[in-house]
Amino acid sequence: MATLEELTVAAQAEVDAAKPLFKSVDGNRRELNDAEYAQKVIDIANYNFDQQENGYKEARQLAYGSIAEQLDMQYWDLVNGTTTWKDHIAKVKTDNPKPA
Amino acid sequence: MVTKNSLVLLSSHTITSGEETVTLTGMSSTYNVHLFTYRNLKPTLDNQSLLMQFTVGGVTDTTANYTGHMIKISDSSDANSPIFTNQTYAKLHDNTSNAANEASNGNVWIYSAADSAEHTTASVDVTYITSSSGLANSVGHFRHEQNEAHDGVTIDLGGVNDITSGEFRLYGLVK
Repeated sequence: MATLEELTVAAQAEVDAAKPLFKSVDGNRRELNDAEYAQKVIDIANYNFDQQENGYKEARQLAYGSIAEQLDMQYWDLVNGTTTWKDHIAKVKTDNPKPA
Repeated sequence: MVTKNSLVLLSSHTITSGEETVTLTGMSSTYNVHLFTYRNLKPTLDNQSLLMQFTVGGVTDTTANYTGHMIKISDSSDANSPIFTNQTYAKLHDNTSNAANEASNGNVWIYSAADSAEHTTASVDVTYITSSSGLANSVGHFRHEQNEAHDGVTIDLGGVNDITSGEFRLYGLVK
């Protein structure tokens, strides 16, 4: 996993490659000034760090599927002696790992 | 004459060429409540998060004081509840699509914005088509956990990623 400092370096490169960047304030469109470019780098690094640290939670919630679908899996697992639900949950966790 | 309880347009913007952020200002103690509304928002890149921040003196407030809860209701799963605590932004929703006929539209009611002795709070109601073409709704609330007056809002997409379309409006509700 990348540190915040490493993500800041990557964000700086990303911003430099994408210049010029524009913003609007009350309808007036202009290029970011030096302070805003510097803040943009910080914002991107913070956002990517948050995604890295916490993104797996939302990804897992979506991938688990609905409770109704999971209950249905569990019912048929009990009837048929299968492990569909357990395998599904394990795959979701593997596919969306918690950061070390 | 401005009628009591009517909405007064404070600032607006329609994107005609890509922009990283959109800031609208004009919130003040003239109004108890403000409404930020947007429609037809699309990013350059697919599957982006939509972020919101307040402004102080027209400058985006990026202090790590945004805390909130959003429930995402979609046709592909049960409601889930993303929570953010002490972040530098409030995440209104993820998964914004850039495809034709797939846009994000929403309203954010903002309370106590101009009161420097209170936290600024907001309630969110956003409907959007996800990058996998599903229908989703993000509802919830957030606050900026600092006793501070705010005079506007900023919309951002997180990375180096233009907002390519959208109409944005900021209103004040007359006391």
